[in-house]
Amino acid sequence: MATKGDPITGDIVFLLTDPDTKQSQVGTSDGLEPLPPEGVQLSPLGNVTEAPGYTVLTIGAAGAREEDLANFSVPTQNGAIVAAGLTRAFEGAPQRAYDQACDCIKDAETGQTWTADETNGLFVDAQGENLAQGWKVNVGLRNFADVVTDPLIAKYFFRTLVWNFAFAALTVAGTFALGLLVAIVLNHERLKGQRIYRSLLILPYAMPAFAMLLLWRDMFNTDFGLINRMFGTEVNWFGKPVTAMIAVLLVQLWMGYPYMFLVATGALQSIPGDLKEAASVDGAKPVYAFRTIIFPLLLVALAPLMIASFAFNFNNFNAIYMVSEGGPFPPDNPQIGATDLLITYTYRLAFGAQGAQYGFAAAVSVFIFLIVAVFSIIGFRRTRALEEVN
Amino acid sequence: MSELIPPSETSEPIPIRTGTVTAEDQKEAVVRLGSAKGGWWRQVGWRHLIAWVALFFGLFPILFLFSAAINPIGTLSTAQLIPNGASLENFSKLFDTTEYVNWYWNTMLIALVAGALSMFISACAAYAYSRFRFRGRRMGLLGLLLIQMFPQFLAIVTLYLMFTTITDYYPRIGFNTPWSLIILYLGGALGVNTWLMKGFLDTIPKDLDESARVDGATHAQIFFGIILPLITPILAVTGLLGFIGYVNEFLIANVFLTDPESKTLAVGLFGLVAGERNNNFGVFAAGAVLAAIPTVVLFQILQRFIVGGLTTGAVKG
Repeated sequence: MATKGDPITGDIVFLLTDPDTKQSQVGTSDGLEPLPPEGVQLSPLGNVTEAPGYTVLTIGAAGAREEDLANFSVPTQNGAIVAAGLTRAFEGAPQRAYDQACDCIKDAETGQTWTADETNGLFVDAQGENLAQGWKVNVGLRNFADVVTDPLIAKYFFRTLVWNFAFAALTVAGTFALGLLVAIVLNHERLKGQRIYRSLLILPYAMPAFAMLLLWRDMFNTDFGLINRMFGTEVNWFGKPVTAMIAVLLVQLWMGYPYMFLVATGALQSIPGDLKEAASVDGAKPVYAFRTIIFPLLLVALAPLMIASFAFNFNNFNAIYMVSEGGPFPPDNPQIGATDLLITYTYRLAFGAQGAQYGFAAAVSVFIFLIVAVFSIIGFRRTRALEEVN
Repeated sequence: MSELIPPSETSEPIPIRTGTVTAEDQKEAVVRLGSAKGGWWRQVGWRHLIAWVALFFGLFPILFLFSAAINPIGTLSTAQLIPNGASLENFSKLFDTTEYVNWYWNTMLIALVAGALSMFISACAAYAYSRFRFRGRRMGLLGLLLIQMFPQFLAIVTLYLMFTTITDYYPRIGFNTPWSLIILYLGGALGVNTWLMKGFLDTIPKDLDESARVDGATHAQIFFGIILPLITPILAVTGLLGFIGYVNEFLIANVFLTDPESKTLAVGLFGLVAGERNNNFGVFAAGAVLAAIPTVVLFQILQRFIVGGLTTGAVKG
């Protein structure tokens, strides 16, 4: 093992000696050439210790260039020569190669073959096992059909769909209820310190969400988490579906209510005082007046924001991925967990450890889009927001 | 339900107006007759109590973050709600062992440039949608809304392949550069912002533009000279929301930025606690506290615009 020139930056070359013939050769990234025997010193084991024009690397110097060595290989006719340790090298040939004659991949050692499967774009052996590598084929609408028909996928897909709706709806409802409550309570002209309360209450919304999501995840940690320590409990929050769902919903409530508080305050203040006065002059009790006059007006003002919030939370990737990562997972399907939203499920399909099912993931994405679009359109139609577009 | 609650416990008491006639004051006294009127507790005290409960719920995670950031041991298991010691150990570790300064700079660059540009693009689009009548206008508006609902990540595979090619030809806007993300974010910026701004623009009387046009102003003059100053509140809101959104963006940034020095705060800090949850917690908390400063400051400055901007746009659809 040596370099041409400077031991730190020079190109790496292999000075190789065949153990049988004792012939020395120089291996560069271009290939092998014979090493002229003049001035070459061999160690008793046959390693080249000195050669004119080359600097033989000491063990320390070679260790410093470990990374370059790992990437270095000498191409040969049958394969390539790579280093094995610091004083040895071996010639390897690719074990499996594509054979044009049978349109298959052959294993040179075992003789096993994987035949090309044109419908799936994979190489499949006799047992139906496929290699990880494949190519692109046209599958028509099969990915869409799989979503609806494959029993395992269908079972979990619809369960996930239900949870996805529940997650978005409960998040919007919860944040709206809490935000509105706080807004009503604070919206009183004789309440001192309103501005301070308001500035502090919107802090959760102003904090960077990704950091707070990760913080919440760690606060729910079973062994070290603040929640368990504060209440003296030992709940494995992300171990059971129900507690995991409660945890992610609680996090979303915390993340979302300051926003709802802000907009509810704005809407409350924009409702004319005359209306309230007129109601009280007519003898309406405050709660009744609120229910029949103020609340409907609030809804008119805030419904578009609530629909937008629903659509956002329906695909709230960070909220799940950073807190529960979709878990806990059922034993028969490690692909889709109890708190998975469709979008985190799709992300795992496309980029997860189980392989890149881009096509299937894209099909699921189209389903997600259709669902959200339909619900948003219905929602906007009902609030007549779209009909005001003029 | 209304019968169950005595009139004194009003959630919306009759507003007291200054300068009203005495007859009205008497009337109010009549309405409140028989109730325990005037108790500070009944009037505003309980409101303070609820506000304090809401404050606790809202602030305890933030307090915990602070305590963890100055916790000298710096692990999750030793972090308390109330700090039991103070040191800047975590901060110095953050700057020594990670590329935090680079992350911070990248994040600010991306969020500021993309936030400002998206604000401007949306304002231009909203002006066109609000003031001009052209074929496909309604479809365009609905289309913007629908495209916004398309799961962003679906595009990632395509974007990744596109940017692989771009990186080969012109690496300055390829992977591991802030510019690649800024370009991408601008593409997704139009939807909601345009709607919000259009709603706001619709409330500004058209007479203003028309009188300016009669006086010979061009579209550009009307837009920059008259419209932009009038829509400052909504500009502030969309700019702020855009800025916060870009600071928090994780999905695309995580795929595009892989070099340690090119990461954003979201990607970098996620990497800190992704594998090693307990030990890096203090360093992570320190990084999060510093990352929060710009958004919190912006929020407090622009607070008054947010309420007005969001609801005005919303009411007018």
